[in-house]
Amino acid sequence: MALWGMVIDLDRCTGCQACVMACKAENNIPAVGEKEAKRERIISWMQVLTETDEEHHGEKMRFIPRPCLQCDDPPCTKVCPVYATYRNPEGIVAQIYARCIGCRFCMAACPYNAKYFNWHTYQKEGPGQNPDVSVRPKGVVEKCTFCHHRLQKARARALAEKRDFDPREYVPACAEACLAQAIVFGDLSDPVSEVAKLARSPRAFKLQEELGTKPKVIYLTEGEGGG
Amino acid sequence: MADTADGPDQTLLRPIAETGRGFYWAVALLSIPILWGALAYSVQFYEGLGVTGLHQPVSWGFYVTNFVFFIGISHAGTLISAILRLSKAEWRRPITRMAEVITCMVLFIGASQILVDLGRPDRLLNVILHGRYQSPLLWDATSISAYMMASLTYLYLPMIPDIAILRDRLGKRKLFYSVLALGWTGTERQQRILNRAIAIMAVLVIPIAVSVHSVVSFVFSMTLQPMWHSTIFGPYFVVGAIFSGIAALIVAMIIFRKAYGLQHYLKPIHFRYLGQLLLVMALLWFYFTFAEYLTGYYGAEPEELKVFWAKFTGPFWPFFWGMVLCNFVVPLACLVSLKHHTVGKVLTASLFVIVGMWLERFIIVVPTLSFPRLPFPEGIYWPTWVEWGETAGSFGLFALFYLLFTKFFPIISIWEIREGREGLKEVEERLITYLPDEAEERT
Amino acid sequence: MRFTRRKFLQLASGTAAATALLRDRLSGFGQASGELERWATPEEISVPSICQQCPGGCGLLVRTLDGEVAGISGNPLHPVNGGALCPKAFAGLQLLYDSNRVKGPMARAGERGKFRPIGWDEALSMVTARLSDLRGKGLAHTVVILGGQYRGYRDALWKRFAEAYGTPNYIRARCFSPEKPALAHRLMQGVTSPLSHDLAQARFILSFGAGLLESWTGPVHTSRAFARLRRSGDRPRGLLVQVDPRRSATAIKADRWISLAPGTDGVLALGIANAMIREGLYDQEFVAEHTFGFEDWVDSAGRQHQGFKNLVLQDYGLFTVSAATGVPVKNILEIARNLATLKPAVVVGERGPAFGPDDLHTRMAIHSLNALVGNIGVTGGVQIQGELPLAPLPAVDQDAAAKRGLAQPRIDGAGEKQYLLASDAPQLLPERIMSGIPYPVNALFLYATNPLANQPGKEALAGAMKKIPFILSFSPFLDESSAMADLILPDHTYLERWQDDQITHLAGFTCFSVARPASKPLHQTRNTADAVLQIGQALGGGVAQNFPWKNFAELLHEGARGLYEAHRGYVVSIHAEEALRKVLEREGFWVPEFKDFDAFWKGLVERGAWWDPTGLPVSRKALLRTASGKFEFYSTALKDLVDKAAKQEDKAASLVAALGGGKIEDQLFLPAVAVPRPAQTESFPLRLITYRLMSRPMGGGKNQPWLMEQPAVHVRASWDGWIEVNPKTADALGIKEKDWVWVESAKGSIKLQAKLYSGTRADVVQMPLFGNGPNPNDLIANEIDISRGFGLLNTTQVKIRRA
Ligand SMILES: Nc1nc2c(c(=O)[nH]1)N[C@H]1C(S)=C(S)[C@@H](COP(=O)(O)OP(=O)(O)OC[C@H]3O[C@@H](n4cnc5c(=O)[nH]c(N)nc54)[C@H](O)[C@@H]3O)O[C@H]1N2
Ligand SMILES: Nc1nc2c(c(=O)[nH]1)N[C@H]1C(S)=C(S)[C@@H](COP(=O)(O)OP(=O)(O)OC[C@H]3O[C@@H](n4cnc5c(=O)[nH]c(N)nc54)[C@H](O)[C@@H]3O)O[C@H]1N2
Ligand code: SF4
Ligand code: SF4
Ligand code: SF4
Ligand code: SF4
Ligand code: SF4
Ligand SMILES: [Mo]
Repeated sequence: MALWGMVIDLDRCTGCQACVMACKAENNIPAVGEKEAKRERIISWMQVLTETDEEHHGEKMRFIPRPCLQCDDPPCTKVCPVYATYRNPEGIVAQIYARCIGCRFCMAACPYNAKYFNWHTYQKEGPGQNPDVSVRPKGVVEKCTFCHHRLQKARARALAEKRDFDPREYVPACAEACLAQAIVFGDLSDPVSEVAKLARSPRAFKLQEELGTKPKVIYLTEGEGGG
Repeated sequence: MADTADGPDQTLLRPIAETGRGFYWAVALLSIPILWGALAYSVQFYEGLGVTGLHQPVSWGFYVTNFVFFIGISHAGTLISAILRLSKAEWRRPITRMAEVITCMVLFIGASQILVDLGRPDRLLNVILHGRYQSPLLWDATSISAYMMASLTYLYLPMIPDIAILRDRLGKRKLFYSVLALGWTGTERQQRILNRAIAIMAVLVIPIAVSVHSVVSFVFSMTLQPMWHSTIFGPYFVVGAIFSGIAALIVAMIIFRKAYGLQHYLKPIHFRYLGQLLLVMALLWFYFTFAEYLTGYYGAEPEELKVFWAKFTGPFWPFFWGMVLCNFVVPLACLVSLKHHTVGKVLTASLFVIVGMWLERFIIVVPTLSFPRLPFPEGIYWPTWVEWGETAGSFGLFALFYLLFTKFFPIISIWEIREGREGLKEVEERLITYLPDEAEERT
Repeated sequence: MRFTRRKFLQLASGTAAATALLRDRLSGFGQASGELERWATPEEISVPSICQQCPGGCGLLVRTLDGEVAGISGNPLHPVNGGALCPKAFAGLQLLYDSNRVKGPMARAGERGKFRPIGWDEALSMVTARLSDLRGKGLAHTVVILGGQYRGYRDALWKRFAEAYGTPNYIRARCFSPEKPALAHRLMQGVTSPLSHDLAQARFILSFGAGLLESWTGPVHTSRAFARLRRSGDRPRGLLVQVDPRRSATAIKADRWISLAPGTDGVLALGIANAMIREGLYDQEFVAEHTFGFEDWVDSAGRQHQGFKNLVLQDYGLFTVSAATGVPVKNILEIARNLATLKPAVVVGERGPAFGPDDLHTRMAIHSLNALVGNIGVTGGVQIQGELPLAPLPAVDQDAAAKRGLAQPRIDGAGEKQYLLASDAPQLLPERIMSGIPYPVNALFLYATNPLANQPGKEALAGAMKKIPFILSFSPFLDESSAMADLILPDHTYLERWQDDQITHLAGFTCFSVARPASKPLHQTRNTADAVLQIGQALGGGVAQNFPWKNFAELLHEGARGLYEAHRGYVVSIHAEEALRKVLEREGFWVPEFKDFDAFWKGLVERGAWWDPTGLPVSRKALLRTASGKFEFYSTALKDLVDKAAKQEDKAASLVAALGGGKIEDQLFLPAVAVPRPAQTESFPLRLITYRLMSRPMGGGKNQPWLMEQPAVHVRASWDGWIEVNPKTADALGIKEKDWVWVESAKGSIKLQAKLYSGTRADVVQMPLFGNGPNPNDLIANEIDISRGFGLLNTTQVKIRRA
């Protein structure tokens, strides 16, 4: 059983937000519109956070692209009263939009603020949307799914072509788009996969590691240093 | 003996017997916030939660605050009356009913806050269909419904004899009362069973009550969030709950004392005792608050501190210091000496405590969400007219329920008062048993 | 030898997985398609296209379901972006489905600004009637065609139309022309096609204000190079130094951000040169062998001339430079040393907007660093593009009327007087149109440009446009300028049309992209290229004969024939296959993939691009085409121009003055930049800088909500524009984050929200070209950049106060 994970190299990341927009296009994430945006209700499964370090009194800035970290021990799933968010066997933390009652407990519980709520009906089905991903109604929570539908498609394809499914065929939209090749995706359980190799790099670290959420999105620090 | 319910206790039946202009005025007045709340919710139901001031990252606000607050109030009654009953505190007799009613009414209001807070109230059933017991929300659902059942029974049992009185003495609603009276005639046997049942319920209700506010606190303390993830949240919440409960009880007592002229029943002594109880709770509450914040501050974990300072000096300082003022400073000032103007002082203290405890709930829910761990924009939350309306409506509805109750049932337990009067002899004997035996003293 | 695709696929089956991935993403071609059918939903096709949201020219794969666009991703085969994209590309979906598009031809109804829909035939005959009328009256030259940012055959077609019809006034409104060699490069190296900077191979990149990771020649290609610079294989981590008064995204990611006083880049460059020369850090061999004018020299007439070396040593001492630029001496030295030690090193100074009034010498100064580094024609240095072997269009045969028109002077005066060096001078249009000198303008065409929003002279232009009897816009969107048109013939958006792209700023390879419509037109719009052909044909006679093509697609098809017949380069294909071909080619034989041109064309359209990865052997000869055959610190080419001008005009005084000289002397032809004195600024103490956000598509993107919502990450903003203020400056003015402020210049004042951004100089405020609400051009003074004929965009002084 694969264990899907992602490595993001902060040394390469230029904060360009290609991943953000790629995600929006791939996953039918609506633009919430001017009014709602100003009310801080933008939905952005992938969000580029900007860290200004204080010592250099804001001189240094660092971009941290933040998808759902797909925690291996996710605090968000435990608190869901209806199993509308859960960790699947391959480690992907999923949402069931049709079941979510919109209590937003998972949002309150996620230490990384990776979950977003549909405060209104932001969009209807329409042209330009990706038919592989459902359009969310008002009142439910959504978040990065590691582009799970792409995994399903890749598997289906392999099946149709009567060959083994090759993990390299499963690439999320953000990783595919990243113009600095800062996002590497793959099977962490396979020691020779690139993502597993990078995850062992001396530059590797996890966000809020001390919380013990065991994120499967791993970051590489900026600057010199091996790896 | 039920037929001899004449004498002084007439006053207790009057509000049920006749309805004055005052009542209609009160109803009219209360319907204003209630209608506002109704409008607010219907708008929210169709538009979605977007009509509130909630956003990313402050996904919980007034509704969750109200939930915690009202459930807290609910500890007034049942818990207090149970404790007093078990400890055979004689002065309890005119108070218990009022307390129990508060509990039952406010529990419904509190529980419904969660429904109001849902993005998809239409899917509430999923909680039963797909319930996940790992979620503290289900713990809440369970213990709150248990508490509801218990409280209702515990309210109902002691009412049976009075209902019988109403059935016999009151001209109207004969059928209604006779059904509820369960054919009570007040025989020795009935009396014995009743007292027994009441005693059992009293014992039962206390652990349930304690569990309720503990699990409510678990909604927060089970997460990893700064200033939520705390082991003392359980007792802290329970203490706060009883604290606010007593305050609410006192206010209710004073209102009805005035409205229904119950001065002979609710004497300054009652308020002095309750005032002292309130003072004790204020000290306890302060102790917990102090412990909670000191550990946060001393541990100095950066995320914790971010929230800590947000409350102390940051955007939330007015709420935080307002809370300290209302829950500690004012009550202390009012309650240290209750020799004179007892009622006035106790009332002031209680009103402040109610506001203060609401602020405390707010200051627990919102700041933590406003200051996420990762470098996010800090979201400052401000409620919209919808949330204000829903809150006003909730208070209004509570008051209305309470008022209506008093129009159907005596707000002071007639038979218990009477039992008190008749039982003076027995009480005296009991008191003697507390004292050292004279015989032994001689030897 | 014969080498079929089938054989290849067996060979390459080792990489089956990788190729399978690509296959499903590419509309099934050749072998692959067969397999494709079996699993893919039959109606799902990925159509290769070209992103047009900036000049990057990235290849797209547009996912279509029954011909309806359902997604955009990068074309993994395209050599420019290799499957990667930038945020703007995805918002193309919202551009396509924008509900406010102009849905069909619109004619003015009543006064300007009001429209009524009309049919294409009626609209086109309106245009042709007017054009042939003017032509008949001998007024062909009074038709002005104003074009924006685009290149390739659309440019060629408009040029051709202007020439065949007979107007010299095909004017491009832009300060950045990727398809032309930069002036400084032309004058110092004599090149006729654009130079490119081999960022991907460089180990040290020094950039003077080029938005490498945000804008410039397209952030995807450069960001990929940046990624390599950071870490790739066992290559040591390279360094990027960004010179920019503003802490841009590029500056944030750079290993060092050099913040300097705006416009002092030339001085800084010469300071670096000074350090290199002083410490003997420059490439002595290259300078000795391949440069002219470094040492002092004596001309044929025996006149003594100052060389670059002494110029720099005398006038650009480190302390002078440090004082003028505000850059610490130690940083100047550090850069000089890095340039000398981290090889290959490359210096980029060809940003779009001018550096200031003396832009030419600034750029010459910056470029001379490349000569000192000796990286001309070196891998990882400055290189040149080979011409694309496209079949040339037949020469225009001009009839009498055309000749008469073309004989007229240009309306914008580009190429005359002080604009001698400029190929276009849009900034002059307003005054020329107003004065009617040299002649009144009778028609204005707007193609892919919105001058009423983006030109500093927009107010004057708006006034001037009132005097033009006929204004025709081709915009698919009702932008500020189109709103003032008499007729709108809406173009398709780029996802709906046939188009090509000829990217010319690439190092190491040449590339030609072609795209077929990814979506059927959503509205009654028409590819402007087709419309131009139709107008040309409708004009009949002398004009029509120059437009033999049925439509634009056919024209592209004819042009591509040249690629096939050139017997070099490849239609892009699966990487493994490509690699294999290179191996074979190294062994000495080039393998044709297609049996005939039709197959070639089919493959080209199905995969989206042709490229020649072997590139040209970059010999220094190819790069040094000056009279002296060397890199000229002292530009003889410039001298000749000035001398010629002097013969015609009265001493070419205006040009010389414009070039920042009093009289004709050596300093004029050397990269000598005047050391600026602090300007008089009591009334307007702050310098306004405008810039492009990564998320800003050409056209501004107001119809692309995703981009409007999350425009930036260095400040928090949404939908509305803002002004960046240094926190200390703000504090002194009592301005707090998100306060509304008035920004006032000599020209006007606007109100917008302040963002306190520490990456702002104390004496500067910054405003992105973004958002609803006010536009920086409401403030920008109408100073002209003589080498581009465009407004100076970063020289305006302003003041701010709380509103
Ligand atoms: N995303 C995006 N990319 C684009 C475009 C777009 O609209 N959006 N437009 C295209 C076009 S038409 C052009 S012309 C190019 C232009 O692309 P660039 O040449 O990169 O021009 P800008 O991005 O406007 O400015 C680049 C930097 O110059 C800085 N700057 C301002 N004044 C000075 C100065 O005096 N010295 C120095 N060293 N730096 C200074 C600004 O702060 C800014 O960070 O971009 C092209 N690419
Ligand atoms: N303050 C300030 N002003 C500047 C600059 C700056 O840095 N600062 N930069 C300057 C520079 S470098 C440039 S190049 C100019 C750019 O300014 P413009 O030449 O105006 O180019 P765009 O802003 O890209 O606007 C292109 C217009 O073409 C239309 N359009 C979009 N797509 C299509 C299409 O497919 N077909 C057709 N026919 N039309 C289309 C849209 O309506 C859009 O308004 O701005 C200049 N203005
Ligand atoms: S696309 Fe890549 S470089 Fe751009 S923000 Fe995302 S991770 Fe960073
Ligand atoms: S990041 Fe947040 S949402 Fe994602 S799995 Fe972890 S806790 Fe859940
Ligand atoms: S919001 Fe939806 S997913 Fe989140 S906890 Fe509540 S029900 Fe579960
Ligand atoms: S993995 Fe997919 S869903 Fe998650 S951020 Fe990337 S694109 Fe969005
Ligand atoms: S860089 Fe330019 S061309 Fe390339 S994807 Fe971005 S916007 Fe499109
Ligand atoms: Mo430009």
